[in-house]
Amino acid sequence: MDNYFIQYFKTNVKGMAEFRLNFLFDMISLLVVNSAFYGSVLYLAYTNNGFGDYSFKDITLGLSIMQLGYILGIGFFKGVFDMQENIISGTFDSLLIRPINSFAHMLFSRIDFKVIGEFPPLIILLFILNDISLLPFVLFFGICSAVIFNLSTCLVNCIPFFIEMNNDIESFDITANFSNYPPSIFNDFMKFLGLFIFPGLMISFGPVMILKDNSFAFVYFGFIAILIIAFIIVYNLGLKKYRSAGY
Amino acid sequence: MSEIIKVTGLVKHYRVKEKKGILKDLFSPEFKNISAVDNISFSIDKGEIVGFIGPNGAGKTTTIKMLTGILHPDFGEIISNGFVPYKQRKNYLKKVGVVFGQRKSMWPEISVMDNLELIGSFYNVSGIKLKDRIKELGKLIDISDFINQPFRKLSLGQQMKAELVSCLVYKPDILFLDEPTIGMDIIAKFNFIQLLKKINGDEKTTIILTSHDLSEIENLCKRLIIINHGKLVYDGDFSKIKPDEVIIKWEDKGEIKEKRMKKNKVAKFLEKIDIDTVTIKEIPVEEIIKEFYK
Ligand SMILES: Nc1ncnc2c1ncn2[C@@H]1O[C@H](COP(=O)(O)OP(=O)(O)O)[C@@H](O)[C@H]1O
Ligand SMILES: [Mg+2]
Repeated sequence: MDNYFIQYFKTNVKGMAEFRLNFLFDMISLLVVNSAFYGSVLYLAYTNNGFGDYSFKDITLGLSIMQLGYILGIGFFKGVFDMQENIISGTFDSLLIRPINSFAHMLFSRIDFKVIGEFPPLIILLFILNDISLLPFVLFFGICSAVIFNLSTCLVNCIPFFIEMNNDIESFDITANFSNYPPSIFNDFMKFLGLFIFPGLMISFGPVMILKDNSFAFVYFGFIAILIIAFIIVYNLGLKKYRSAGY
Repeated sequence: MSEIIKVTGLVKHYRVKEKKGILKDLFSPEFKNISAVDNISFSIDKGEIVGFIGPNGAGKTTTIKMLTGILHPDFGEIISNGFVPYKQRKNYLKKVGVVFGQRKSMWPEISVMDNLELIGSFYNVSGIKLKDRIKELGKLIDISDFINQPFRKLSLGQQMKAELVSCLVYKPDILFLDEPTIGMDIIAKFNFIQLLKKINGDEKTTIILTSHDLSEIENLCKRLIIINHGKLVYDGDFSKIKPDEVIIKWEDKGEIKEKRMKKNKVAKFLEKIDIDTVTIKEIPVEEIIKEFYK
């Protein structure tokens, strides 16, 4: 295989080393913010004995999957989150002047090492979950979550291919908010939004929904398949429409 | 000579919002099409150095972006090095170098060498092969002084040299340079142009470069393509549009006078005036172009 993947990794390590104090500070603040968030949600879930038909354990499981999903999705594929900016400013050109797959390179080009600060909360969540038999489940669906999160982000990030914009559209915050709470607290409309439009619920509690009702697996994997197909079509159309910038 | 690039009837429009006032723009924006490139055709032979000249906004960059596969043309055909750039981008670019003066492709925070390793890996040039090639290129472009410095700390001239080396490591057949000398001082410009000459000579690379300044490429390109408002205005020898007139300045009874005259009349004219006060200038090439731009 190409060795560009290793090269990007090295490049990122060197870039981080150049600004290591920055990195340290970012990492610590991430750790604090996440611990506070999980602490409060889990405390509420614990004292309430879960929310609706989602037990304390279900909630811990959902949050663990989500945490792993975000670590993989944001940490290792940071390039995805610069996509809109790159298309708007025309820096996307620098991918297109190389004999490479522009999407693969965008994916691998940037690693966010401060994601290391996201691991301690994940480990604590897994401790609270306290069920080794669920580890493969968390791992598999954590990867699925990363795929859902990144592909839906990429779809939104294709918008500037088609529409003239001067700022990023942020769908990330809405998606993240949906993923933070179990589906039992939402009404049907909001559940629909959180599953299919801003798929935060898919990222966190979708896999738990499969455990509760196996037939939901069709919806879950069908959704991933549709995301993949939609993205391939939209991205390739986008490349045709790409207009770069005026310099 | 064999043809390496053929462009026929190339057209590219941009749709831009027309400013009609805040409220109107907000609720019923009107759009208009700018013809950035309007029916351009030309062909370029292997080993040529061609200068693309035109004022700002003429459509030079847009043309280069279509030639390199970044943009899809609206109409027209491009065959370059045997490929249709926007359809066969990945295969085509294996043997094509692209440098934009306005936008650097190297990562700012890592060293030039690290950048070269990264970029080399896209073209399967790495390890010893890469080091040997950099050494070989050293005779042409010496970057050893700053190869271990972070890219962002280099001067503009050094950055451009580094970018150029990053293209040459994989021995491209064609080199596209969009305003490569922009922002450089006169000496850096001169050195850079000399460098391109050597690359073209030693490596037999076909070079297409754009500039809005005719004088800087005067010693480099035999052939010139002038575009204005997206249209091709001139395609031919540089020497043909070189003027046969010069500007003479002299002092006459304390008054400074200036006159344009044919070169072959100058000798005679000089006999009549105070020779100590005379200066002779070439007509600025911009002015000659202006005649085309009209
Ligand atoms: N991405 C873009 N969107 C809208 N208009 C553009 C874009 N790029 C270039 N233009 C317009 O197209 C025309 C040609 O631009 P360009 O090719 O950059 O000219 P040059 O490189 O000769 O200065 C200009 O009028 C410019 O404003
Ligand atoms: Mg330009």
